[in-house]
Amino acid sequence: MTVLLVLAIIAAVVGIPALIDLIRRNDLRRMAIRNTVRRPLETTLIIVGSALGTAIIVAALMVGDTFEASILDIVRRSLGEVDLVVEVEGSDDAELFASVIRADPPETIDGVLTLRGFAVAAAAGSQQDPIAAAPDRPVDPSVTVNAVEFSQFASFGTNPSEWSLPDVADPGVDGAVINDDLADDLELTVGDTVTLFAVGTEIELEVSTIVETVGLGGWGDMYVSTALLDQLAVPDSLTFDAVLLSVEGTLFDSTGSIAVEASEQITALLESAHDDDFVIDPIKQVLVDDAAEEDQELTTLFFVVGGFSVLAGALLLINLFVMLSEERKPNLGVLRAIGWNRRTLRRAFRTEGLIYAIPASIAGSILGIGVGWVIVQLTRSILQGRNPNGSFELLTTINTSSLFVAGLSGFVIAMLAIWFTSWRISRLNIVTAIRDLPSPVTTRGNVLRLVGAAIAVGVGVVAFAVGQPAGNPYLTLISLPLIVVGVALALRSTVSPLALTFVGGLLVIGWGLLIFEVLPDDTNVEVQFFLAYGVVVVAAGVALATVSGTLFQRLVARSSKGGVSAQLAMAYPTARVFRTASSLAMYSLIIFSLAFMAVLAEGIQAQSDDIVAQSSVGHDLFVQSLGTNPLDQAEILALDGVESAAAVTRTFTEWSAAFKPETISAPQGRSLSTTDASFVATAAPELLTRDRRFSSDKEAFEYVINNRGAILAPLNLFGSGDEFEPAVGDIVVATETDAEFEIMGVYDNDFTSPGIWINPQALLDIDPEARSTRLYVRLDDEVDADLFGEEIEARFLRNGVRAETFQARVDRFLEANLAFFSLLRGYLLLGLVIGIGGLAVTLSRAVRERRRQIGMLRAMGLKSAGVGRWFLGEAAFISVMGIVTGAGLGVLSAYFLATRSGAVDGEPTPFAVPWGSMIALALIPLVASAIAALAPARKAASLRPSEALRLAD
Amino acid sequence: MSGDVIMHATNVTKTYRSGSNEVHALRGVSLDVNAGDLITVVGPSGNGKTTLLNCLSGIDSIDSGAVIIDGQDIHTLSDSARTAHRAERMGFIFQSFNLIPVLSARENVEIPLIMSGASQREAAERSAAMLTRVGLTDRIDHRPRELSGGEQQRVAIARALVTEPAIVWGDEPTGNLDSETAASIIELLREVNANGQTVVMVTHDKAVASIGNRTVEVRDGQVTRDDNS
Repeated sequence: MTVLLVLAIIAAVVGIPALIDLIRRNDLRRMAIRNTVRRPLETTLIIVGSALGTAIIVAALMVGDTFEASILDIVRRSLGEVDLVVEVEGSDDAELFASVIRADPPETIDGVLTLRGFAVAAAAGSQQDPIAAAPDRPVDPSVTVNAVEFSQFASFGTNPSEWSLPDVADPGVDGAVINDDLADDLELTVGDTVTLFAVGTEIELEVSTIVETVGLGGWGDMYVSTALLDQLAVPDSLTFDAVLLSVEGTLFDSTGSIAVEASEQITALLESAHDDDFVIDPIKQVLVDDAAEEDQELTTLFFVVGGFSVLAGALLLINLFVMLSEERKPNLGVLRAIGWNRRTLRRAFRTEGLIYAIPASIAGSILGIGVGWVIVQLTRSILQGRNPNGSFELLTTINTSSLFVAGLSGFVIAMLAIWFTSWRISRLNIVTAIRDLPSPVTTRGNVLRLVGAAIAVGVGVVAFAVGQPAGNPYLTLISLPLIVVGVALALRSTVSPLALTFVGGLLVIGWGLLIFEVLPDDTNVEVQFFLAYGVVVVAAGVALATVSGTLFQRLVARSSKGGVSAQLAMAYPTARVFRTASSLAMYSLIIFSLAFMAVLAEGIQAQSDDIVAQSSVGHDLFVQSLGTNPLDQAEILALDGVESAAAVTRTFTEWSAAFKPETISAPQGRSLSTTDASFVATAAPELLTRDRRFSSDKEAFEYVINNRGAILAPLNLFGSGDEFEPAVGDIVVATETDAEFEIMGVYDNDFTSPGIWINPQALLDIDPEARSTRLYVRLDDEVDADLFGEEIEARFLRNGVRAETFQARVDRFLEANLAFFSLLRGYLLLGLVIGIGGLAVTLSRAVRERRRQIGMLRAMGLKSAGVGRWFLGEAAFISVMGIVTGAGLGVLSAYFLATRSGAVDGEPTPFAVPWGSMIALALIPLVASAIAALAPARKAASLRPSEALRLAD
Repeated sequence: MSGDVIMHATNVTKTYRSGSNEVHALRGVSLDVNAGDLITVVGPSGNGKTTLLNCLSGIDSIDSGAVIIDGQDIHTLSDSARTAHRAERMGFIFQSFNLIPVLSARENVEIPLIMSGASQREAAERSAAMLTRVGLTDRIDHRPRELSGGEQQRVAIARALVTEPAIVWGDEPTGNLDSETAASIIELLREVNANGQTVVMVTHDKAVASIGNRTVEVRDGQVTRDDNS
């Protein structure tokens, strides 16, 4: 809301004066309207360019809104009025705690409900039905079942009829209440039979009621009578026993103080009445916070990526208005001569700008909704690929406030660009403007330049002195460029501007690339920094490219091989520095970020084989089964084609560390795994470091599995970053048993997340009821692992088996990441459209501006084809400079930032240049630019010399 | 001083149409230009002087008639061939100089040489020599915006002459200059003509008109006077 208010104020400041002039000043209005309708195509392009910028902002905010709404929808679908969950051990404790709360409920609690949850595999129909043998029998390997006293529903929360199933009757021991999600998955209707597979038993139940997946209806998939628990005989260690609590008046805003207060009251109440272990989970608050965080993160990510495109759009506007003002310079000089003061000139420009900015903001907002919708659809399919069985649904959402924020942002950016150019043109010298000559350099200008130089150097030095020690990447980044600009300004009259720009550009690029070598190791880099980084590095690159272009043009000029067309194609861009730099920056910014992401994506792709090797540890298939009915290792070993099957037992507990205590303030939950001799005999995790006493990773692994006090730790044991990394010899403590363990080796994290590798007995000490639910299977060479996986999933349905090759598992995750990169790159292509469109507009205006020169050259003997080549060549020259600058800097930045410093995701990624993507990145903009330049080139080529000269003279 | 006929125009007509309006810019103009002529074309504004120059030089098309140069009716040639012919045989000087603002004086003068296939070295030498001839030795690496109006017109003259064209066409070459600068430009054109170059020049200025060995007056799209002095 604050952002909206600030934007509204800025929009009012920059827009209302122009609006008043548009309404009240006939002369300004007439001139503005005539200028806009006189050249409808260019007016349209200005509006489209600006609208695309707004659309990008709308889309970024829409993605954030969608994720926030989707996560909040989980509250609606699976929590309803549940705010707090008291997690306890065993159903007896649940009843005990519930009775304590019911006996003396805090004022804010308006619902108490106990339940016992567990996971089973389920299939539609009875085992005796013909359907049971059908290959397409609907099954679900993991169904959450809750055993509950149904009478509790009626009094849970403020509005049970909407959220808490008050009218649902207890189905008894033969029936089940299911939600419509499960009904859809298993194709069940009321009266149908569903078979549950749990703890070695099979139970057939009749569906008595199907409830909507809303509120308590979404808390798990199925409700059954507590009486059924005896038949299922699920051990306590495999159940989730809890007391659900509703806090009055906190349906969707549980982050407020009421929930916090209620949580504290419940804690005090339970601690005073009972000293058994319990954990209060503020489940709704966590979800609401997650939603806000996800909104913030995704909006920021898309905004940073889209920010390059928005900047390109702003540059396009500035470029266009500079061209407009230059074209009208003589007329504006005359207007100044006959009595318009500078303020009136500025007002005239702003009035015209307002006519572009208002429709652009409105059109951009509408277009942005479309762009956002496309992004959400693509994200949905990416999420589906990442987790095919996931229930998270994206709800396409755009909040009104986001729409206003985006629309106003687009408007403000457009108006600021117009204010800047109107200020620039208002400083024209009347005489030189009328005669269309360059403005003279004044002594005052020199004095100002030196003052500016001193300020720039001073601010740069201070920025470094303050920013570097504090690890502020922004201040540090900007420090050297400011000093370079200051020195260049001071030396401009004595040293060649070309030399100054060349050296300065090189220095700033080098500074940018090595910025993480300059910053302290513990510098915290936010994703927004990459926008600032990109702008600084690309600005330096553009300066360097402009200078290099000039040198290149001089070289070409010395050789007549390119002919007049080639010479002119380079002479104009290198002479019109501001205009060329703006066009180049538009191109380079987008291609820089595309190339940067392409290299990162390639690095991720290149990791595939390593990750598969690390995760599989020499095995082919990763098999998981339900804890309530785990698959026996012997059953797999009995199958044809199985070479070995190692059982892995995995559980979860809290750990503290005796090492680096300053970075680890409280015990942290981490999983731990153990395995049997068959695993150890087959392979071992690839270790990054190991104790010196071991000659191989296998030896270290064997030692750990055979010794109670030793472990292998994952690199991210206590989080990412150097300060959290465990080392060989460090001691960690399992807080459940206070047992100490020495780290014998450290391995890189893998996709199966085994956590800490530990001795089997030590694991059972921590969790005596832990069961083996994972099998690492090695198959004979001739066996098709994918097919084998499908077969055992069907065969061991009752165990809820999910089997996947390690390669498929890694590919699925990597593909999702790569698809997300593709999505971001697609989003960036909007910026490329702006850049290419901008080039077309710039060239169109150039044809008009150079009409006289075209006429003269045609008269002198330059053929029309030569004129066409000139303009096409100019487009190609700018494109190539932009592509080389952007792609070069993108690849270099990816190398220095991502693969060397690990600044992108905390871990250095392999560096690999994606040649295919880079060639596409070069060719697509080049061809698109050529196509965009075709119309202006044809227009220029078709100009008749006499007509061009007559109009010009 | 006049020699053989190098351009023979017969019954040239040109009409401009704008919607339902028709402007008969040239109404059957016939004119011969002899080698070594310095012809000044005079007449009131809007009576067809510039159109005559454009049509005779081939930078504008004609409705009827013929313009014979080097034994060929240039208006029967394709646009490409006519353009190539202009590059080889003609030079142009305009009131607005029409220099390429992003190129130096030398580079501007090099353009016609490069178009006619000269090597870069030859183009550089000949353009420098031509700029020296028009008195701009010290200004050859300056861009147009760094030159005065008179200097810019000298560059334009150097550019028009550097390929040694058969005919130099001038359209108000002194129109944008003060009288002193204009006088120096006229003197330069006289020198050029004295060296055997044919010059056809449209002008309003009576003083400029008087320098020609022949004055052609155009009124209402027709040649009403053709004086050999």
